[in-house]
Amino acid sequence: MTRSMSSMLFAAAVALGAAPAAAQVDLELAGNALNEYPFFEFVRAFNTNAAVQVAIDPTRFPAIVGETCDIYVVSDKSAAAWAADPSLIDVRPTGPQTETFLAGRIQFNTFTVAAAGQLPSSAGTTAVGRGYDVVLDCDQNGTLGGPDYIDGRAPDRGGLYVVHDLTTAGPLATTSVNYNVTGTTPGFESERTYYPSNIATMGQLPLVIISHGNGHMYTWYDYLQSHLASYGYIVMSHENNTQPGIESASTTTLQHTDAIIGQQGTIAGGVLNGHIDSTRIVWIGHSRGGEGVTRAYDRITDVPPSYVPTFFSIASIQLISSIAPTDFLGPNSSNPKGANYHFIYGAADGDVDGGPGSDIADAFNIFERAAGFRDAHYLQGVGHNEFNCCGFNDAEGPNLIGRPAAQTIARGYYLAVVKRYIEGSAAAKDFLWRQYEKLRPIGALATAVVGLEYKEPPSTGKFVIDDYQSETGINTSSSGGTVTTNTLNNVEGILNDNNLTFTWLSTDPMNGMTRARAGDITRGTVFDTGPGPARTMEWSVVPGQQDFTDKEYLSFRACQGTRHPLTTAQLADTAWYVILRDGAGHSSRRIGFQAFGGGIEEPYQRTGVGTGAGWQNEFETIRVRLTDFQNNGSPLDLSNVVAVRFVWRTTTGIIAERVGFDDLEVTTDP
Amino acid sequence: MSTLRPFAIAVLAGLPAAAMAGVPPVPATPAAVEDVVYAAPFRLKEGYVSDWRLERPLVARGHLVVLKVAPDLVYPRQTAEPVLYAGDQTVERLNVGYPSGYVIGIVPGGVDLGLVPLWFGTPRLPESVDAEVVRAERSRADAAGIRPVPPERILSVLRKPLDLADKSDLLREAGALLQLYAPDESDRAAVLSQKGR
Repeated sequence: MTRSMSSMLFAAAVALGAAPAAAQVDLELAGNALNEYPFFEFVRAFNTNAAVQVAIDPTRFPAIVGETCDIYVVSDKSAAAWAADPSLIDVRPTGPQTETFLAGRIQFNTFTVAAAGQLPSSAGTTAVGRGYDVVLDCDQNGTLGGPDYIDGRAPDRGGLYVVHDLTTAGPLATTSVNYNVTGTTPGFESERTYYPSNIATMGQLPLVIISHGNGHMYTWYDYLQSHLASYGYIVMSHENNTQPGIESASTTTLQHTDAIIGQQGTIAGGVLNGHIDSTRIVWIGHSRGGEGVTRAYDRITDVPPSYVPTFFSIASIQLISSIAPTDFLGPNSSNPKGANYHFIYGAADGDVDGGPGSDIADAFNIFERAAGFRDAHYLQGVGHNEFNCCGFNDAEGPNLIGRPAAQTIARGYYLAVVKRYIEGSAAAKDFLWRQYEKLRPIGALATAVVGLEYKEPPSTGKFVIDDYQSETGINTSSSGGTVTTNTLNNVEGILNDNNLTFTWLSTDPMNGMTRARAGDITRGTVFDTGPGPARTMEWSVVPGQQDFTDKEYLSFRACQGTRHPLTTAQLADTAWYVILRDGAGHSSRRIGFQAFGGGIEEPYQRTGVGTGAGWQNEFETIRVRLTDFQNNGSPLDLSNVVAVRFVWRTTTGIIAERVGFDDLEVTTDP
Repeated sequence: MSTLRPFAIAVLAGLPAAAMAGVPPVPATPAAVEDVVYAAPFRLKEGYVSDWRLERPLVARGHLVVLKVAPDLVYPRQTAEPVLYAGDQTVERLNVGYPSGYVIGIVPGGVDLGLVPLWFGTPRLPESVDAEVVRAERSRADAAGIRPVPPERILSVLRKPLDLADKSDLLREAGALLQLYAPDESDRAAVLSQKGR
């Protein structure tokens, strides 16, 4: 290892003021043992009902071999606090545990440090996760120093977080009020606001605004309002003028945002006065309202703007979230642009159905336009109106989970999303991308199927190997490298099903891709990985971008092609091997990403719009930590990676699938 | 009886319609309004700008109406819904109307309800409708044989004029009508009844 991530982190720690004389190593320690290579995943969030483990790879950190160290789990401290007070106080009743570290494999150096429920969680607080740092005290002096190892000092955040059930109410009692404001479209003055009952003793709180859909009412989102308010937010739902259209809906969103801020001195007797943080605003919209909030953002960011806010600014809108949005207005008008954007949607939606017959009903179009941080939660078995209390049941498809279960999932994920984007919660981030099968809000239905997508913007310093937006030839990546493959029927193009049916037809290679309409630019690729022999695809990494040591994850998104014979032949999640190769010809060991739990979902088995079963293609984001490729003696040099290779086989045989693929990147971890 | 619509099954079974699954398909348009059961001319001292047409006209007079319609035409959809027209005007709908089949609406301007057809046109967003669209939809309605409600029927339901201060007053009137004709929308009626208070 020529320039390890750990040494970089240590340098950062030194810059932050850690004692330079000490040779501690800042690294990832907390995580979960895996049954197959890489045999351990380093993660940040642990649900309180799960055990916490630590591991260190003796080949990446050979100095640990033969050492006997005391493992400490301590309350999270900042880098500055560590510099000021390096003493170690283990939070466990049993105190630090002593372990001897062996040569060979990470499996030999994996230890359970807390049983499920042993470490206090964030329960009873408004936080997502209670933070801890982990220290290997290898000079066994009860102080961070010398040859010790630490997870949680640099980067300066917790080494791990123990998370309570995010679906349960927070610690704050809430109060709701109904009232009318002035200055809005006549007939649309009403608001319902939830806030912490003891708001008088609190400072300024972020503001969440909910804009309902067509035929819905502003009184239908108590489940979400009360939940977020119980974690320290002011949550207002307003009458939304959706029947005329999206422009009118966006106007009421904008007007009500101004109104609640501008009239806080008189609303409900002034109870909110001085407590609204107008620099931290979340817009949540449902269906037409879900498009309306993106239109509202588009309007205030247009040049010239068609609405000029009085009491907030563009920068105030720190998160936009759409629940099953329509797409009436298209890319030039309904566009989240560079805002942080969250998206939640049900695969059984009978209204905004995601089918190929109408661009208006293709909710994912708007998600694809989002150019900032963006994440999606796509719930199988959930219809349009499970996200409110009282809309007509329009759910269509098998295995419907019902309104209570859907709202439980929504509560948990919404809390994580809002805490991530508004408060920068490190633990919450895990809930934006880790597979539902492996990490989900504790109260969420275990048998539900939820697909997650997560993407960071270019400003984070990531390197995009291939996003198919340029260099549209199959054998050239968008970054200019070569792509070598023996996969079959490869087509690159706009992610837009080109006919009115989900029936598989070879004339519609983008079948099931209902993510773009005329004027949209999102592109990807599709191909077959069967029949055998085992198919491969390899991207060369262009010179100048081959040093991955300042990156954290290899990231991509993929889906199965709905109703394709290769997809229907095996109705299950799919995964394959990922391999990195360096300039010296060293290949990493292969990682089958099913090792991290889950895989790429089989499309929801809903029928209609053609023959067969299977609804729109369900992209899921896969992120593999780059250092995982170095475990157990891999000679891979992350400072000189020349190729990324996929192999469609596992230990059980060849993976023959219809695959949709996009956004191969190496990312930082901001 | 071959099939029943979900709402009909719900009504027969005494179940709330919301318990029934499935979105009824959008009915063919143009489709005539079945009946006018209430109409009251109104004047507002303070008019308001309507979002129900692209031109965004000022509305200071018109008719407050209750229309009987086929419920599937007004099933609350997020995608495009059939647009309700009265002559050369779009009708501003104040409630959902599903499953009751009663729509409370505002017909702006000086429309003579006994002389113009009332119908649902092509599904789209009302805010995108301009005079040209209205003309085209009117031609389609005429070609489909949609005729005005008989003048004598309009006369039989016509109420005394409402002289009101503003739209809030009008919406409170609408709230009372909604409670009467579509009690399944009592929550919405209650909201309308509180306007301006």
